[in-house]
Amino acid sequence: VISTAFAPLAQVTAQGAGHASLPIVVVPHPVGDRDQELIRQRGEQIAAQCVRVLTTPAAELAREFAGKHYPLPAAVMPR
Amino acid sequence: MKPEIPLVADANDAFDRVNEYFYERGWTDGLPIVPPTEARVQAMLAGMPAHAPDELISVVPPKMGRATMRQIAANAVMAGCRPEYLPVVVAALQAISEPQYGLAHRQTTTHAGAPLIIVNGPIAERLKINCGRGLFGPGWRANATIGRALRLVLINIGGAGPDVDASQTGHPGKYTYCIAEYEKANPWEPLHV
Repeated sequence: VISTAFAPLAQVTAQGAGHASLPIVVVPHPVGDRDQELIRQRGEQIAAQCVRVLTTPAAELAREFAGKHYPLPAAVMPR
Repeated sequence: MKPEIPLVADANDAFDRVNEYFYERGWTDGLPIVPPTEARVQAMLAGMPAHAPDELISVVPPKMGRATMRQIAANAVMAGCRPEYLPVVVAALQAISEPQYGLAHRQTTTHAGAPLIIVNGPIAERLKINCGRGLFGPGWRANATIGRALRLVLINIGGAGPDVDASQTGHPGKYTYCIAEYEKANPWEPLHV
């Protein structure tokens, strides 16, 4: 689980660790927010995705996540 | 049927096409590169003839790419290095691959820093690595291209292109960052001590 600003980095790091098709669940960036209610909402928003990647056969997930493109948020890289 | 690449292209056209191709794939630092043809890579490898092309120098994070002599030489060609610069590029990569440097952290941090290469010894004079006025500035091929070659290695072999490098502001030293020690004027112990 990682925020959108760091998803490409997470993907390359996973590739370097030998898990090129690691399922990555993204949350909006940033997560360094002091509003605990907001952080709770973000967790709840991805809960179903987390359950899915933990309970779906690895081969099926590999097809979905291998080479998946994670665009950086426009606020981080406008162009 | 129109071929994707014309059968005949003049040299300038090929240069432009190679540069567009490399840039679109994220294999550059944004500046034009010297196309790493087989002949140029072989000529670069001749700068360190005691090392085999497939000799592994380092495994570069975060992609954990294998930096063989050949891969390093290709990036040195792209950066515009002369073959005699290759030993410095390799030594710099070896230095930042030491565990205490923490290259994985440097490659992925939100901090803006970049590895600074400071060259000590007779090779600095031989290669004309500037250690005097304007040493961080433009105009010196060895300073410019040795630092750039290391950056291209970090991008292309290490996988730290602009989408992956999380540095918040970046840093001009991420294009090139190489100087020599001015040993004769250094009031402290020289770096090799």
